[in-house]
Amino acid sequence: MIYLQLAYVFFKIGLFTIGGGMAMLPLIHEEMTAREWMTNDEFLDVLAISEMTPGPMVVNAATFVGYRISGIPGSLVATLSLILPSLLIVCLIGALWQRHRNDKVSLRILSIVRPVIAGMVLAAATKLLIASVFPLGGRGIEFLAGHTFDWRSVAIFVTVFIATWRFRANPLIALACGGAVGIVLMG
Amino acid sequence: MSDHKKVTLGMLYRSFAGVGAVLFGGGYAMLPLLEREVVERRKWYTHQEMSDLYALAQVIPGVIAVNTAILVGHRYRGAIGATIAALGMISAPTVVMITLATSYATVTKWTLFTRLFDGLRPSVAGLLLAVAIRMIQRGCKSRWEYGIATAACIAAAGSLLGPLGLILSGIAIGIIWHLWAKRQATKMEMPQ
Repeated sequence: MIYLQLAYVFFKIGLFTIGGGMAMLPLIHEEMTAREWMTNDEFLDVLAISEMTPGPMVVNAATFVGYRISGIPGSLVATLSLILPSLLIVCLIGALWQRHRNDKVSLRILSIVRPVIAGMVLAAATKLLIASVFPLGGRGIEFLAGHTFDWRSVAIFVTVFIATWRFRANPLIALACGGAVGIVLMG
Repeated sequence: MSDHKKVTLGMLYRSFAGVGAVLFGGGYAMLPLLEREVVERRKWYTHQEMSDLYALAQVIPGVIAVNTAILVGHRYRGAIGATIAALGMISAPTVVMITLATSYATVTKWTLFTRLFDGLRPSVAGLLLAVAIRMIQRGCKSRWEYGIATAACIAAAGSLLGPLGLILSGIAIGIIWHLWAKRQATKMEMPQ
C-alpha cells in the first residue's frame, strides 16, 4: 500500500536526520530517486522552491512527494510521518531532561555548548552575508572568479542590522521591508 | 522554571504557526523569529534557555525547527502540546507546498520570487548577526568562553565540523571537564 510505503520512508528520514536537513540531502536524494518518486531535476526544483518558500527543506520535500504520489492525503501522511520520530523521542526523553537540567554535569555541559552555539550562529550570519554580498554571476561589479559585489545587499544588511540591534525593531517587519526593497531594487 | 504559567494549546499553535509561516531558508533563520515570539512576546523562555533549547533541538533526530516547537510544546503541555506545536510549525509550509506542487515548474522561473529572496537573504544575515552578538554577550563571561566561541565560529565558517559535530564536541568537552573537576574535588578531600 502506497500510504504505508510513504509513511515508512519519511519516518526513516525523520529518524536519521540529525543536525539539520542539509546534512541528510544525500539520503533523501537516494530514497526519492531510487523509488522513482522524484527525478533528479524535480529534486533540484524542490530545493530551489524550499529556498523561496517558508519551511524546512525536508518538510517541503515530504509534502511535495506525498502530493505527487497520492494527492493531499499522501502529502499529509508523508509530512506527519516525518515529524513522528521527533515527537516520540521528545516525549521519551523530555521528562528526563527536565529532571536533570540543573545537575552539575548538565550545567557544565551547557556552559560549554552555549558559546559553541553563539560561535556557530556568528559563522552562519557571516556566510549568509558573504553569499548575498558577493553573489556568483550577479549583475553588479565584477569582483573575483565570477563573483560580483552587490551594494544593494550591503545596504539592506546594514539597515536591518542597525534597526534590530540598536532599535530593537520587530524582525518580521524588518524581513518584510528587506523583501520589499529586494523586489524594488533587485532585478 | 515557569512551567506553571498558563500556556494554552491555542497559544502554542498560533505562536509556532506564525514562526513557521515566515521561516525562510534553513534552521538558523528561525532564531530571530523564535527569540521574538517565545522569549520577548510570550516570555516562555529566557534568552539563555532559548540557546539551550536550540542546542537540544539539533541533537534530537528530525527537523530542527520542528524539534524546537516540539520541545517547547512538551515542556508546557506534554505530548499533546508537543503535537500541537509541531503541527503549528508545519501548517504554513505544508499549505504553501501543496499549492505549489501542481504548478511548481512555473514558480522556479518567477523572477518576483527571486528578487524577493535576494532582498530576504541580506535581511536574514542582519537579523542573525544581531542574535549572534547577543548570544555571545550572554553566553561568554570569561576569556575561556570567548575562546570556545571563536573556535566554534572558525570551525563552522571553514566547514571543518557540521553543527551536530560541533555540539557533540561541546558536550564531550563538558563531560570531560565535569569528570576532571570531580576528581580534583575528591583529591582535595583525601587526607595527606
